[in-house]
Amino acid sequence: MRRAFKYSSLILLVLALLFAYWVNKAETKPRTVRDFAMDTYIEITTYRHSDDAVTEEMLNDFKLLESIFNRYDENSVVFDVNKNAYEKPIYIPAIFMNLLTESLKLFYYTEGHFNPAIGPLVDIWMKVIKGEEFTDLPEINILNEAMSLSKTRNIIINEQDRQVSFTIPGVSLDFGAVVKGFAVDRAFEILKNRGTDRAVINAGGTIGVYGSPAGRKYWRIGIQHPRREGIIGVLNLTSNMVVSTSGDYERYKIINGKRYHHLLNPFTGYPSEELLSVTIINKNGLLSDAVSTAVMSMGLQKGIEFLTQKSLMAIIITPDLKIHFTGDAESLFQPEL
Amino acid sequence: MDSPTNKMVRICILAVLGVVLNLIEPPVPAPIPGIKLGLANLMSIIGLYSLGTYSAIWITIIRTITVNLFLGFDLRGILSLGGGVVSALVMEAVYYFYKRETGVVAVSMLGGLMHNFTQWLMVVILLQQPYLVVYLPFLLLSGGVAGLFVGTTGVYTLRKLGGFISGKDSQP
Amino acid sequence: MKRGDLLIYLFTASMLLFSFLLYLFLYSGWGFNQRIESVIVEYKKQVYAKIPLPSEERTIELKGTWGNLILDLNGYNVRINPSSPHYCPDKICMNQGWISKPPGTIVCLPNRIIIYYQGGNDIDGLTH
Repeated sequence: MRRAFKYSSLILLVLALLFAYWVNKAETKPRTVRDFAMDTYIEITTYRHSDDAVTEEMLNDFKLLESIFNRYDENSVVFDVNKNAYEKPIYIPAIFMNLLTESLKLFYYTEGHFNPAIGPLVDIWMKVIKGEEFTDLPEINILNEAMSLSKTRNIIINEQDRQVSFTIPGVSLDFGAVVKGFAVDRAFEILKNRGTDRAVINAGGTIGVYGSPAGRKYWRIGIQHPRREGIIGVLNLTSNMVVSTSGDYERYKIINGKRYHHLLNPFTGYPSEELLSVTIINKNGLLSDAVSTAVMSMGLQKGIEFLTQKSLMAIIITPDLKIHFTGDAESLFQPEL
Repeated sequence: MDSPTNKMVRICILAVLGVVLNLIEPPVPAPIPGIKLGLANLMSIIGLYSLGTYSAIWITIIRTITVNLFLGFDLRGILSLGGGVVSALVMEAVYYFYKRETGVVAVSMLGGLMHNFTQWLMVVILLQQPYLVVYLPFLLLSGGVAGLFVGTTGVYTLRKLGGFISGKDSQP
Repeated sequence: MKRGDLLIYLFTASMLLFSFLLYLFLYSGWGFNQRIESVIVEYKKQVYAKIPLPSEERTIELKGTWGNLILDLNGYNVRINPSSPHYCPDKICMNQGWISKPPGTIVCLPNRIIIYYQGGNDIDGLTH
């Protein structure tokens, strides 16, 4: 009896090792295609040979979206609209109308914190971050002018003739904050039509998990640590979820010891300051993208109030590196040790 | 004083005290969620060493089921039931076979260890998350430390109140 | 302390020890990390360079349409040298610093270069 007692720890160790081996074995080999589209990095992971055609179809769709919504590309539809829509109404494709009207709905949904007309303000701050034209901070009157241009009331939509026009010159639409989520939603649609079992789509950090993983219960999506290399934790997700993160660490410049990044508060005209990153988990990618951008601008208190009221799942990281949860997000989150 | 009813009533009183401790005990701030000191386990230990074999397992079962009636049966409930039952069974077995060769503190520590080990095993199997393997050393360590603490508390409680709880003394 | 107590303490200590060994085995060096096989530099969907890991401390020069890109390697750590002379207007890739394990990835958007790990991946994606 006493001898059995002595060896039981050894038996337990062997069992644990066998178990660890077995679970590692159960993973299936994924196939990942990496490419660039929509001014960002794309990664599509599928699990069967027959899915290669589907991957190709999704990549082509992303490139189609790029040709419509990349406002830095002179041949894109949005460039044409931003340039000419004051002079005459511009006829736009159905996808454009779709994303524009959805974006305006999200503008009201987020109480103006996500703003599809924020282009003029973005232009100024991107120049600041890249160090072009402005070596220092922009003057307040320049920001004020840009803010008055960045109003959705300057946009006139004619749904019947599928036309869009601007009331004043200088208005500029920017779908950069939502096009990735929109693209993931469309990719899910393609996967559904093609009857694919499972796939992971990473559109520049907006990640969609489709179907359920093979041989295990959850997809594991890492959340970037906002201040160092590596992840701050992992999200355990079941099927068909889109995770979108907005953070102050992607594109930024430090001026006089202060961090100025590309996520702007449309009400102050300055980069939002209170939060390091916001991660939204939702079935709808467009909504995830828009809300993560909007909550960055709202700040902690207003953001949590808003998310709780709409019962959305979010993970918010504040400058003290504290992690705040809304909805049921805490139950999905596993901190990285 | 040794009637089954008498013992049953004492077991139930300890179980109810355990329920109260369970409900009021706050979680310890730690990097892994859900680490607790397991004060309620104190009642199982006291029961085992004052009322004898089979009392710890009954106290644990009654306690966990009652607590789950309060909080609703979910994953956490199943985990606490599994962990509690296995840890109580191990303590009972050691008490039954090696009563003379073991002490309260060590048995309590073993209980805490087995409690967390079982919970970890259940999480890994139920959630099928192999990567939770990395939590094991932290859970075992916290389980053992909590068991030591509870065991030490148990020794002092038994010294002062053991006779009263078992019914040998009529006054505390 | 009684004789049986000693056995219990020994049992506990051995379990703790084994669990820590298991943790070390899986986490640092021989477990998950061991399965990091190489770091891959991809250009226009083609594997441009494949460097086996772990590597001794060294630098690698990758010449191409982008000019001369300098990659620093040390063990499993990889980065684009901050003073790399290749053409890159936004310099995000050079300022990113070291990556040490998947899903860490370095992307140079203007040059269409992706640097990522092969193997060792226990995560399906990275949101940022």
